Amino acid sequence: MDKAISSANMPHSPLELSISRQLKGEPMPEFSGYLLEKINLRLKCERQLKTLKPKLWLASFVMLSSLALLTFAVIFLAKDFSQSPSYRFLDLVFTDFGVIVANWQDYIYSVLESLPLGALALTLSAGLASMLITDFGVHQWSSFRKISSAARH
Amino acid sequence: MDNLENNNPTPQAETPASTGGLSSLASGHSRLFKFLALSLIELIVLIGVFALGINIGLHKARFTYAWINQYPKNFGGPQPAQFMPVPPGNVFFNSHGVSGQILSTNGTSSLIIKDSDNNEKTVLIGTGAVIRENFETIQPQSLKAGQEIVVIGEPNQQGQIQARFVRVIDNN
Repeated sequence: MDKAISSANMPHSPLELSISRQLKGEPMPEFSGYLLEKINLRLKCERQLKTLKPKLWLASFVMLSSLALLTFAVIFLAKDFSQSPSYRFLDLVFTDFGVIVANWQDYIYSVLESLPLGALALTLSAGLASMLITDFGVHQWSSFRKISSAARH
Repeated sequence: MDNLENNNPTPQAETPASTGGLSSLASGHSRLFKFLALSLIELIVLIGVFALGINIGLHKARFTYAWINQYPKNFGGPQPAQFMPVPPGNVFFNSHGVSGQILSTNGTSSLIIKDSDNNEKTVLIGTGAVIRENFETIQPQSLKAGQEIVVIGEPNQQGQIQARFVRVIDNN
């Protein structure tokens, strides 16, 4: 019985071996406590990973969709911008800067009146949505990596 | 008691002003204060943008209605009420600038332009207007039908644009 108990308490894992070296000559600690803790931690990690994986898939899908939406919005803005006189007015800054400065009020009005506001609002909204979704995705990914590395160790 | 005996002045509490800067003022205030200050700043910006939008819309609407009412005088034809309905909000004209092709000139003082939306506009060339083609300043007489131009100017009550600057675009 004593032999069975002592063999059951023999250190096996690297953690147990190092502890046994440290405690040479002293009574061995209860290894079962550490093992239980490790099992509990691993279970907790796996539970967290299980809930995190669907979120990660969802975040990836939504991120790709938002990037596609942003691409369409930018193309739409570029097309709308080229059809409006805005780009010709803005071009004048590079060719006739002095005259623009002399008539700055009329110039600012002409630029603001001709801006393609709908397309601009759509593009900026798509950009903001992409940014927030990317941030969410990155946050989920970093949580996944932390929990995975904690589960491994 | 010790301070009095040693003639050491009691260290004064550090006031926000003594450390200097707005950041020190902000750091000394509660979260509620910061929230209220930020909210007020955002409200001011929103109101400013809203006012700017109203201002620009008013200019466009005023010019569009003047253009409609003065159409027979500027371009000929019957009274506008007989043939032109009230325009929807998204087709109000830009009043301070136009870009398009010259349809006709009267030599020195005015042009009729077809803009990017295929609407006709009258542009008045005054004595103070600067007309440039490439790197040269040219005279109003040099403007010809078919040329592409960009005009920056001011609207008047006759639905016309008083040009301040005209740039001839060389399409070659």
